[in-house]
Amino acid sequence: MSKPNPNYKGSAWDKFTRWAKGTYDPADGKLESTPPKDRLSPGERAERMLREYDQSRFEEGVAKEIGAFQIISRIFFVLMALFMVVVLLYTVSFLPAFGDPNSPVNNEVSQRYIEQGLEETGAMNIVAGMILDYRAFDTFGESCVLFVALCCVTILLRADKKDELRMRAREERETLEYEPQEDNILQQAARILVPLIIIFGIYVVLNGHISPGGGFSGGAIIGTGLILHLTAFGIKRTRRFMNERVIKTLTVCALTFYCFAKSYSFYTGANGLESIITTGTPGAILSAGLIVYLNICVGIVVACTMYSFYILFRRGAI
Amino acid sequence: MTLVQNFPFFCIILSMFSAIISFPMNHRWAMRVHLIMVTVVLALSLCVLGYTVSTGESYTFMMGHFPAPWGNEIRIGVLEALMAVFFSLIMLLSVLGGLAHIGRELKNSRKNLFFILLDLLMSSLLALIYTNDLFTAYVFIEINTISACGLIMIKKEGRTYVSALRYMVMSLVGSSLFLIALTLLYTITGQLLMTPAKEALAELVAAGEYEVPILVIISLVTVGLGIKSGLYPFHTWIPDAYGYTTPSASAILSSLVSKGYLFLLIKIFYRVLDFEFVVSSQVVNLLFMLGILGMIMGSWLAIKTQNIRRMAAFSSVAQIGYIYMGIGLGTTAGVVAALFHIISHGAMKSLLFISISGLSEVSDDKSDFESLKGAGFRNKLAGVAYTVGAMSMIGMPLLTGFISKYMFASAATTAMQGKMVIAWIALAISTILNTVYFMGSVLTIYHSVPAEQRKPHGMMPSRVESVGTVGLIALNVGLGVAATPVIQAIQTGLAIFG
Amino acid sequence: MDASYYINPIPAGLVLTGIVVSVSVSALMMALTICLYREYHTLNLDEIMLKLGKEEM
Repeated sequence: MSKPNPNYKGSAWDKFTRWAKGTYDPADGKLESTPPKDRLSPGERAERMLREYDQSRFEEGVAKEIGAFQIISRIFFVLMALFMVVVLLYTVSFLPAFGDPNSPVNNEVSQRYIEQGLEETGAMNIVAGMILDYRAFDTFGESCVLFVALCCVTILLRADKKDELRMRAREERETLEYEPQEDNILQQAARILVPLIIIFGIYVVLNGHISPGGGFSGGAIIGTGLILHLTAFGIKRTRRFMNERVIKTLTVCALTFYCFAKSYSFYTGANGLESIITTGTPGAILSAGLIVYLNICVGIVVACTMYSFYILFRRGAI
Repeated sequence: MTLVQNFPFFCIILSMFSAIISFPMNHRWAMRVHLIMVTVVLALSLCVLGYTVSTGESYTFMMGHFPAPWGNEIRIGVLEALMAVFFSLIMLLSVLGGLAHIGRELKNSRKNLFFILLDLLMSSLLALIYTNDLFTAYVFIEINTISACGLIMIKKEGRTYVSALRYMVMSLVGSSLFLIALTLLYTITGQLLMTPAKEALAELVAAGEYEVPILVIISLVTVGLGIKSGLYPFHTWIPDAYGYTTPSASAILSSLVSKGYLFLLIKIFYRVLDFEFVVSSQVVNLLFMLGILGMIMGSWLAIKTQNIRRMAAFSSVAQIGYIYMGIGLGTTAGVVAALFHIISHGAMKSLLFISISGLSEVSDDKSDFESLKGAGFRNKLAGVAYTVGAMSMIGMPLLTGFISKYMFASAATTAMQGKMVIAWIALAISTILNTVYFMGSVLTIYHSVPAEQRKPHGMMPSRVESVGTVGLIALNVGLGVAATPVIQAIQTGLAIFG
Repeated sequence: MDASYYINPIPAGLVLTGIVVSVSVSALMMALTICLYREYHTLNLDEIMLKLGKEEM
């Protein structure tokens, strides 16, 4: 039969069980060498900090705790940037000379692109042939970079339903103040320019495999035309043909077509099968295998993305 | 080429296609498409793993009609298939575990965008695992970065904007350094694919030309990818990024996003620069030192925080330090240990984040230790899951963390004498520090509280969440008990990796 | 059509991809800046960190 220990209160086992239960902290009052000066709660400490850093003192930069840090950090950043610049310049001095015909860049890779690019891809523009045929996977990834950036900007800037009404009202007020409504000069100029710009964009996209150009540049031109139309004629008239459903449909169809067309090409290529796509006669519009269609898809995606970026930044809703 | 060999290509295309197709859908369909896609990717990757283990060789898959130095290609081996299996499994379990939170915390108009970002994240991870081309790796690194940024700021509060800004700035610095290294490599070798670049570099090293540019390339790649994966001095974006977003997003960010870059770094070390050459250039010593610093400082910072999610984020910094220490040992055993820790940390950290969300949702959605007292009684499954995760991080036997620590300790014996001693001391100190804060948190959640506080304040956990949590617990225990086939697969995979 | 009139197309392709990635990232960062300004009414990072610290207390 065990007897209760008279010295239990201060013993080690008692302290351990009380620590495990959380009612006793062995380090309490024993760790500070000097007692803390003022026992402010975190909220009060933050209030005092904010009171001391009011706007004028902040702008003068006399706030003691941040001031020294700002100066030191700026010096540090300048030194870091100079260090990177010096290292990179030193490295570049070891590289082969610019335009040297014996440099490692002019090897069998670029030789085959230049000499046999026309026969193998059918494209007279060998850059378009390279990015849409030899290295098509990278271009697919690049279109997805545009797509994911569009998604992220949509998350950030698209107005949710309940803020939308307030924002629309505020924007109507702002546009009346800062921008002329129905500016005649702009509208007359846009009436001539917008069709020309869009036709030129379509021309650049369709001729991407024959002359310099391609989906990306042509898409940017078409997007610019659409932005000019929006600025000149206002949101109501542009929304008749360029609204959210149209943009979503166009983007999804273009990317899906790209995905399936290129998957077919990759699948037949890797498995050694013959693909039904031919290179056609060089110089014709419908030649170079899939390159024309891929340029059209990329052009559509880029145009929709440029327009969506602009309108999300302006209005918060497509 | 057999049908199974096409599966990795199908997985990448399927994940990109499901992202595209979810754009016009409403959120319910987007969720179904995502879950179906991840399950299909998991099944296909298991088939590929079985195929590559049975043949024991790696094969290349031409992306297009043109072979290696002219066209793109992906390369599939045992190690890549194993990583694909684990990444898709962890993503599936994390999304299941946090599905109810996604439903509650995000507006309906944003939910389908969330699933699009997850699909693109899966595709970029698969592409980083399988790619054999440096420029494709760069493009998919950018997709990875932008999707991760979207995941960080999906909740659109003030704090998430600041953490997304910090993450983007640091991450873009890392990408730019990687791009500069890539262009330098192209200028001196003229190749963009990894295998031809390795031959060209071997010739250059043997001839003794371009020594300074090659050293600068190795440093830029290491620093660039180190910034993006959270190497010690560049870890400051981690606590903010992981602490304030939805639980699935935290789990996926901490387990998968940094690991994709780490795997790419190991791949570049083996397939572009010869690993022996990297060891002789002393870069691994830098990684070793920074890894050890990360191990100790990460745990030290974790002890001081009062918020349980930030504590888990700081312990991520420490665990990534372990992986860099493993690479920095400079031997094959070290890299095998690092690769195993990539898998096991993924399993442990996602379990921790999912169980933390389970604990805080029954405590009025608060994450500081004061409010979490007794949370283990309010949500029994989350309490058990958190305990298993914490034990695993400390290194209890029968759980996966123990196997990782054991492999690091035994890999240290194959390194040089000085490194071995430092590694052992650092492992010991870091384990003690881990124990301090993890045991402290476990004791807090099981703190004895009066009976009325044992009822949940807030939401009840859903059944899907329980499925995800139980799956992650099973993964932890399974890896801990049956780690040998996984380790053998890593060893065979690493031998054919170069 | 003489091959000696053509230059190496690879850098052009790399720069094209680089431009597209830069545009996407620039748009994203600008959108983040706008959202930060709407939330905190300042673009000075030190002030934002102070306001953030006050929010957390």
